[in-house]
Amino acid sequence: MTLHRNALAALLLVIVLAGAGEGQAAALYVVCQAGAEVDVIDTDASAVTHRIAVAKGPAGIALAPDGMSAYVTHPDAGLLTRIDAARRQVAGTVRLGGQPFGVAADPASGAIYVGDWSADRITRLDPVSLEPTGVVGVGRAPAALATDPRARRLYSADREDDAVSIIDLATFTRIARVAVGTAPYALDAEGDATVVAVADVRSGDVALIGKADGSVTRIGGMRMPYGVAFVPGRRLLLVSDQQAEALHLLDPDGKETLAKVRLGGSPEGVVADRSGGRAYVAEWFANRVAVVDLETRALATRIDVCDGPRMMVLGP
Amino acid sequence: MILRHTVTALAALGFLVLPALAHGPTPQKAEVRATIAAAPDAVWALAGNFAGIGAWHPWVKAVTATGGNAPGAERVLVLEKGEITDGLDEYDAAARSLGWRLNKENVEALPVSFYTATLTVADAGGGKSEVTWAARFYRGDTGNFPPDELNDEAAIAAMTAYFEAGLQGLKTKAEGR
Repeated sequence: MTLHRNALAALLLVIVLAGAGEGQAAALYVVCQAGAEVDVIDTDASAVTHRIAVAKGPAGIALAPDGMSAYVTHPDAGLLTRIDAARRQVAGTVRLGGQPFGVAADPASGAIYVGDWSADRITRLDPVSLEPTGVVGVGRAPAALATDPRARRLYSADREDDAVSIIDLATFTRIARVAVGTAPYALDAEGDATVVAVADVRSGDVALIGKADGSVTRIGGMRMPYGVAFVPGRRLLLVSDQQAEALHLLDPDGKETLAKVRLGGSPEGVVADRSGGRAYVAEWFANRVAVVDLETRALATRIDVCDGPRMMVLGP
Repeated sequence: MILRHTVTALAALGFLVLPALAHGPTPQKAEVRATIAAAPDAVWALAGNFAGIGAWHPWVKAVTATGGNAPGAERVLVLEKGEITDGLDEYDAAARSLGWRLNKENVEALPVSFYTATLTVADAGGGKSEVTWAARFYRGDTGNFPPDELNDEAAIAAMTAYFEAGLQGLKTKAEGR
């Protein structure tokens, strides 16, 4: 860890290019709403390496497909910030107006999709100029957005519509509305080939939407799920549960809970590392990121971060 | 810009017209602690009774409750300016901790649109207890141009005052003064 950062970055690039999948260091971006900050965690060191000050009240975050930019929404201020991921600093901030909240990047074109919580629509932005290039209406209060790169689709968890919108990216049109549980808030549309996982905050369950047929299966038994993430290479779905103060490990095939890891501080965002060995959970109230070992199904360590960590995204 | 403001104002109005759906994208936090000169089990006997908050919280004029201390239980609290309804989510007697959520808000009574809260009684040693009341909540008007009485600052101030008054009342009751 005493390596010069550039040398380390170069070394990592070599490892990535060589296709190594295990144990590689990655940058975990943690958005802190109250602290108006994005912290960058080195997952190998389990430590914050960069603290990036941003505009007031950041909430959602998405990474460009090339990993070179991160986009952060500010719902109370109507802003979108672009972070230069290589330099770990703010590249620019644009005013979108409204309440920009959920954000996703197009895996093919790099276009940025931003949901407006109070205007019930998604705006498509040019990734370089950040100028709007299209708008599509969705259900009430779009929260999370997520893309399915294979099918070229965008999913929007429309919290107050109790439904998920499916948008075709080629035509940028809403092609379906799928009813789920009450108050869908978080999504993972990429981690599994056949289903999209949706956290239903108010009904306390996870809805699995079949990508092929739009069928819905719900797994209950949770209090207030606020984050979902499939674990790469495993038949495992992670669900953070704010009111149960826990991380649930679910079997998406058997539709059952395998384990419940007790956490604290109103767990929210959850991310699995690429090797599938660890999970990172934002503990919002406690200003920490909990690291959970998925083999032992136990808390491995905790990392102190900025005030009010919510959404997170894993970069290269 | 005029159109944008109009749209936002309409959205805010929508939240007020349909309060059951109100929920904004930016939560706030409040936490209050109190040390009480009484054994944790004695404090828990008061604080751990979901329906019994009226016995120690000076703001609570009356309580109507159903479901006891089982998850899913509800209590309607009559505050000075109206009623709010809480729903019990978690009850852990061994850890002396309970967690609940606001099922039915009333921004006149308490200027928040939603909250989740936990109350925990810890052993502070020497026959004393430390009680922590913490919550995650959303301002009363979740639009981007809330009036002063329904903004984040108002919500934080009200929740903090609500917890402080409650813990002071719990302390007075538990210490038998």
